[in-house]
Amino acid sequence: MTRKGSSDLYITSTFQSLAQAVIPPAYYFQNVSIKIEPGALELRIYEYILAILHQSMSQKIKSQMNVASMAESTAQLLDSGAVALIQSGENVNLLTVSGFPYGGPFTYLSQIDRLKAISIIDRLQINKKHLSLPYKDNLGLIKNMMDVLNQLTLFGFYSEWTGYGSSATLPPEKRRLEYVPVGWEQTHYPGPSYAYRDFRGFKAFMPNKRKK
Amino acid sequence: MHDVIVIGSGGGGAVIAKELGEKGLKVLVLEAGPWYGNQKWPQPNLDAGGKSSSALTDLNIHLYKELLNKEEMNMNDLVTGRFRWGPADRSKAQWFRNIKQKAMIWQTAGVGGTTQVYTANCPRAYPHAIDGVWPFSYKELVPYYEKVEAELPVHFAAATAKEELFYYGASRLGMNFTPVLDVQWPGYRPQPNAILPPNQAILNSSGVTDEQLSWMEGCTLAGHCINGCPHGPSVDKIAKRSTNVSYIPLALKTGNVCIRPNAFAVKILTETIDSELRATGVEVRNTWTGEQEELRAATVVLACGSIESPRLWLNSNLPKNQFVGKGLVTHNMDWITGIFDEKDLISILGSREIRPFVGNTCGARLDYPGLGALQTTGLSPGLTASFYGLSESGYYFNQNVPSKSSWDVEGGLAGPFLRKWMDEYPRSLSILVTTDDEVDEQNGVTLDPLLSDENGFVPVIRYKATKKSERKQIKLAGLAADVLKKAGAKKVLRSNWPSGIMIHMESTMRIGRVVDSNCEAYQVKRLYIADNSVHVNGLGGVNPTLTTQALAVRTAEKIIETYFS
Repeated sequence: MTRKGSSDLYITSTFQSLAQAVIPPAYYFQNVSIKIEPGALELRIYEYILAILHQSMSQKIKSQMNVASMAESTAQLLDSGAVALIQSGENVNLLTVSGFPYGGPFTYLSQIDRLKAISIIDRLQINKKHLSLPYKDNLGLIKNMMDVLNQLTLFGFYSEWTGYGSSATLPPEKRRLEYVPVGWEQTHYPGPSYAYRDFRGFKAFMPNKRKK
Repeated sequence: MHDVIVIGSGGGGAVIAKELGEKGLKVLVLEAGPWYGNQKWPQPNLDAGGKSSSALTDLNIHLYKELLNKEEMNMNDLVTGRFRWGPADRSKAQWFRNIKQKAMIWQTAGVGGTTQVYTANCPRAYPHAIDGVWPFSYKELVPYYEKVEAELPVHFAAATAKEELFYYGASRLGMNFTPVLDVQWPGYRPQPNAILPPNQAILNSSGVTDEQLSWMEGCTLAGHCINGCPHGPSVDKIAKRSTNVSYIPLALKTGNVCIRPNAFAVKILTETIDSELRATGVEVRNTWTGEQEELRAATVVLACGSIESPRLWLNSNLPKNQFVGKGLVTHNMDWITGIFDEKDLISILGSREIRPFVGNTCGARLDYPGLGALQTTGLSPGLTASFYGLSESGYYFNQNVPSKSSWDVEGGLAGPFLRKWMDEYPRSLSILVTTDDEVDEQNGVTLDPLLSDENGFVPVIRYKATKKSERKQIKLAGLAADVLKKAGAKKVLRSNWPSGIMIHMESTMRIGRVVDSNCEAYQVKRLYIADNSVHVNGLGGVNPTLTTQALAVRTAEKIIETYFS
């Protein structure tokens, strides 16, 4: 598998391209102009995904499983899906290497093809011989991780992580909301609330309520 | 030496501790996670704080409100959130579970256990799921249900927009309205839940501000049931009745219960006395310092939940029992969402949006004995989106939905379609499917033979729905989609969640297999279990907590009758 640059750059590029595919920028037409809302790449959701992968297992568990880096193993897994997609000829668009200069085959794919590569991994239609730990001989974990990557991107984008601003990469105890999170704004979610005045009555009451 | 050590302070442990304390027994509760809202732990995620607490006056509402800040990532992130399955110190990794399938296990360490994040739904089991299946009748359970319902207390949920819309759809589908507690027939009803009814001051005319309302007794319909409900005038009067604000304060009030957070039980201690094996104590590990110590008691109650209870049994090398860990049910859940048009909502609700984040998170339900249940779920957007990302069948664009299906789209969402779908969040209504799934002894918890953490060998968890359970789930998914369509949904999504979604775990230490009908272990005297794991089955597909709590009251009586009368 061809790789350019150091491991960290490779990992970052791979997760940047993942985030972009799962939540791309959105384009809204407003009269004669186009409004562009940023996606998970622009909002650096990949940093959240990487932080979670890093913290998801203790060092003791990682060493027993011989896992050096969940992020690197997962980036390689995404590449194996890309290779399988390209070999099958099912990619919709041509490959391009300009977007993420340090990434592997996964990053060469168009956004929809990256999702198709994830689907191929999800169906386990990949070459399983060269997978690294913890994915080697662990097909269930491979399938699970495809959902986890999706989930993390969505949770990172639509929860308050983008509102933490400069404190986003700090430990959770030190984070503070600095802005209205983009995902909350886009979904018209007001965030933490004291109360809503939408009481529409009771449709029923408890029968034979026992007095203590 | 304590009379009783209870391991776990969640749905079952807190109840049995209070019941035993009330009868004068000296009880020590061990809890693996932190304690939020107790002034002995002013920074519960940063410092080890105190050792234990046994005074009601230690509870501090200001601290509780400060910690439960209602931000969904801060509270609910499964890896780093305040509500996670892991040690109090959030800079440490979560506790590892080995699961080799698509899965999500939603459990929470800390005083209150998983009830800290539960939506407080308190339906009773379907009678047909108990009678003739359990070793005692539904009728025998009813007085215990009534006692817990009175003490929590349980009410039928208040209606907001999403409940009204659900009732409208169910009614138009021809379902009966069945506002009862003992459910024999299909029908819809408000959720019986442990959420205090809204204060009358919630009416706009009251002149009370939102913030003032949040300091008064009663639900404020703020919709943060899962993010952490901090609303109320004192810790014991918080609107959502997690056990840390209901049974724990009642337990402390007895003066006989001491609670020790940050204490992970790593071994059940036993001795052979008069030729019978007895539980005599617990070896416990401090999650901050790593120190271990042995604590002794006349009786031990396991209440660690359906994963950790069998894990602890196995890690303690208690006698071999082929049923330990076997038979896991999860209600084989699914999630169905409808998107509505503004003009339809105006005519039905009088408002342009549903705003699913308003009101009790699961305020309405439809029961279908024989199949399971449907419940409305209104989650904050991060959690909502993350649940759209899960599917057994992969991405939606890989699926061909059969034309006869009641739903229009199936699978996990991503890409531009996901964004458009989330743009409709204010006009969406989601329904959780909980299936009456079968006990299958292929499913359950075993110990990993190689991997261990600081608390012992880690659990390996497996769940695969039986064919029968899958058929029931699909029928319920269709029913949910029909309700949404009848309510006016323009587009309906079936997520087809993986069968490894574990929110309702039960039946891994079943009555009649591991414990007797008093919930005492057959092979270890004076060892009782008071959590979901003892359920003989999945109760017909209804939320398990109330039944666990009713059983905990019953088990407390049995403990006293047997060993302390």
